[in-house]
Amino acid sequence: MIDLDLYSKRSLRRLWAGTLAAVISVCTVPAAVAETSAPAATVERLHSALLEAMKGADALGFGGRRDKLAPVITESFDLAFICKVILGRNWDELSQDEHIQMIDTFTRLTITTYAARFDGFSGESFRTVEEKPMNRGRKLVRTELVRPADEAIQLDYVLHQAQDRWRIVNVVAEGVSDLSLKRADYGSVIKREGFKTLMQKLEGQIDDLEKGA
Amino acid sequence: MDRRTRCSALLHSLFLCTVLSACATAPADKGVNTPDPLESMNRAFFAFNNTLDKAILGPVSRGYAKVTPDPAQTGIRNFFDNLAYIETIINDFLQGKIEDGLEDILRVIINSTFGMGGLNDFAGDIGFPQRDEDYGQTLAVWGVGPGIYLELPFFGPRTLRDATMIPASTVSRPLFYADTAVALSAGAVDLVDTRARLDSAIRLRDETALDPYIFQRDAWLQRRRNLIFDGNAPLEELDFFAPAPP
Repeated sequence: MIDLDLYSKRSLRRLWAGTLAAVISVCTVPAAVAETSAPAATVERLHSALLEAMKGADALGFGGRRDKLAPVITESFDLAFICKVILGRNWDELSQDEHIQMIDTFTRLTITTYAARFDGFSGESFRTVEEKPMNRGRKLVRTELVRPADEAIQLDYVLHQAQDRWRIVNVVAEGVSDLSLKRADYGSVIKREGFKTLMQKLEGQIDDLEKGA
Repeated sequence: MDRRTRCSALLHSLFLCTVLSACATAPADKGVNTPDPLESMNRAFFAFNNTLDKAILGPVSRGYAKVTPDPAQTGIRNFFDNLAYIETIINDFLQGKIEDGLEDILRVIINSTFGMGGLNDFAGDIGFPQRDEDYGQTLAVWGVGPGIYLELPFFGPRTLRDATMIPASTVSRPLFYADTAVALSAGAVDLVDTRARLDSAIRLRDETALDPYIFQRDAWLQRRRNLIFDGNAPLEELDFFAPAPP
């Protein structure tokens, strides 16, 4: 006869030992390599898609890279929020249709830019360095683009939680914030030439990137 | 350059160092919110510099990059970096980074000897990283504010704090003490090589920017801030979500 009591005690003991081992292993893994954390996972998913696009650049061609990167970019970045921050006070003065136009154009520009820039592979890799908390619940994920023949490039990502997932809201390369650059650049065009010209210029950039790719 | 001019440049630099140190206020803005009251004049000089670049420096540097084999370009680059490294060493010590300063002295000795006069970055290969320090960064570390943003003809973007340190930087370079003909020809090669290094950044600006002046100003100021903090700017300085200034 099976001693159910003993069986359950053994099971409990095993469960307890297993839980303890898991807790100890989690506690001893440094924060820098805790790759399962959600903000770092978002960034690593993007990096992995970029590496795939770079490695298969020639076979995929520009269109293939764009199709491959599009879903990952729209999932990884909070593009609507980024548009709102970039346009600052101008956002409130725009109509809902203009908001939609801005988000659509900016999304296409972002995808086209990544597909055009990541067009080859020379042994590069990405390394997650650490994750740090920021103000207002945001997280900073510090990474490096490691290049075999050159110095590594520091790439920092700022993420926030939106729709139950961590999404990128800013990329900072070697201390230069993409969000800040675009806010100054786009703000200057809106101030001097208006929203319509901004849209025309962004569409022009998309065309140029597609032609040059 | 004659001795009197050199002495005058040195005195000018020391005077500015003293004045700016005395003006230091805490906490200093390290360049994030640098005002640009001279934007119209700066835009004019930006256009002038770009015209000059498109007409002369850009084509020459692209020609240089095309005809010079990569190893030779790397050697030339290493040589001039090694020669100019004295400014980094001085500023390591001025910023109280004694260990960095000693390491950087070793770096120059190793590269000047085993690295064949600096042509080879042997020190970098064995774990002596190349640092980037200058007098402008030292003033920022000492608490001097950036002052206004300036686009200088021939020199390009600077803050007032950095611009006042150009003479000090000039007298820290060994070429300043060389024979005029040597200094001019070596300086020309250094200039063309520096422009070649910046080529991809300039192309990126021209392809990405809607307003190249604003784009360059913002990127340059952020890059300077990153250098001042040696790549470790406080986290709140990476948070760019404050409402846009009026």
